[in-house]
Amino acid sequence: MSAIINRRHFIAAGSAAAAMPFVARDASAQAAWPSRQIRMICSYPAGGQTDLLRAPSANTFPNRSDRLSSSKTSAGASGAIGTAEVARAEPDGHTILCSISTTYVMNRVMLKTPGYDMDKDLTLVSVIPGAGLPLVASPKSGVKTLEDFVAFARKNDKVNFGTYSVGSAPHMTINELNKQYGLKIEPIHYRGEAPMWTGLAEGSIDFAMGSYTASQSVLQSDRGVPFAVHSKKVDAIPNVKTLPEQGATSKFFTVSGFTGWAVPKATPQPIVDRLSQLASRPTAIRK
Amino acid sequence: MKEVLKTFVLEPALGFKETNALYQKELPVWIEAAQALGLQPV
Repeated sequence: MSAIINRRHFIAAGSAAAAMPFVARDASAQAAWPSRQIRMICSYPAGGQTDLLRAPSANTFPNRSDRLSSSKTSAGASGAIGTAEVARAEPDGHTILCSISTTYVMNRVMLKTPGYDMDKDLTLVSVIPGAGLPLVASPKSGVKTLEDFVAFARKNDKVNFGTYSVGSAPHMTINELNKQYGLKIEPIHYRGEAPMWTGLAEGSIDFAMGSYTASQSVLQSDRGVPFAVHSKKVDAIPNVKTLPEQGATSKFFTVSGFTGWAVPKATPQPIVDRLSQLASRPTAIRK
Repeated sequence: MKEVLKTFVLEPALGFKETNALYQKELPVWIEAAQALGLQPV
């Protein structure tokens, strides 16, 4: 995908950065940027949330730049393949990574050889904080609050709680709840949210946790009851309290994760700053 | 972009300093929770 950019937009935006002090080497690189096509690489499969952000964000950056830009998906190995590609790219502001917390935070724990070192090889430019993830119960469980859930788990030998993958936020949530309340819930791991929510709707599992957007399939058909939200309130379900509000104490229930953009570590700071300014004002289309 | 953020119930993107402050704040919490799972790296 590529887009023709309005040079006036870039010059207008770039003038705001003109007052920033530059190191001589950086000034040269920044003055010439962008000098060729900007590539945005999304390191997760097409059609997922990350990729759905890639397409409009690729248009966002070019709207303020006068160079053609393109974007592509480079999925695989929990985002590691595409990320490693960006980590090896020339650090000149012409290659941008779009990915999620799993790539930026978790892979160093989950993968033996991710192919990159987040802190040595990449610089985070801008991120969109994650939304609160609802915990949803099947209506037949009778669970409507965290207290109900804990009582249910203590009463029943087996609690079928679905997650969308091993090592995911729901997986960690179950583990943290087990620790605090002395439960022994064994999660059931699906490959992705869609089959997990289908499992809840069909009655294969009693509980699930995932994004509010994907949970619509069960919430709108009354086949799921949200009884808590992982970290942040979800405006659309304002009466559903967060886990901390309901007495869960793990620090993990205060983090939200994020989706965002990164560039190779040695990218000059003035270019990083420009990219960050562009990313954090996606709706400020200049005329 | 606005529509995508609204669809996924997401907030606007953060600037550079706020981004890296969020990353530094959340990083140890995620790592501790992940390590608590006891999974072997693949």
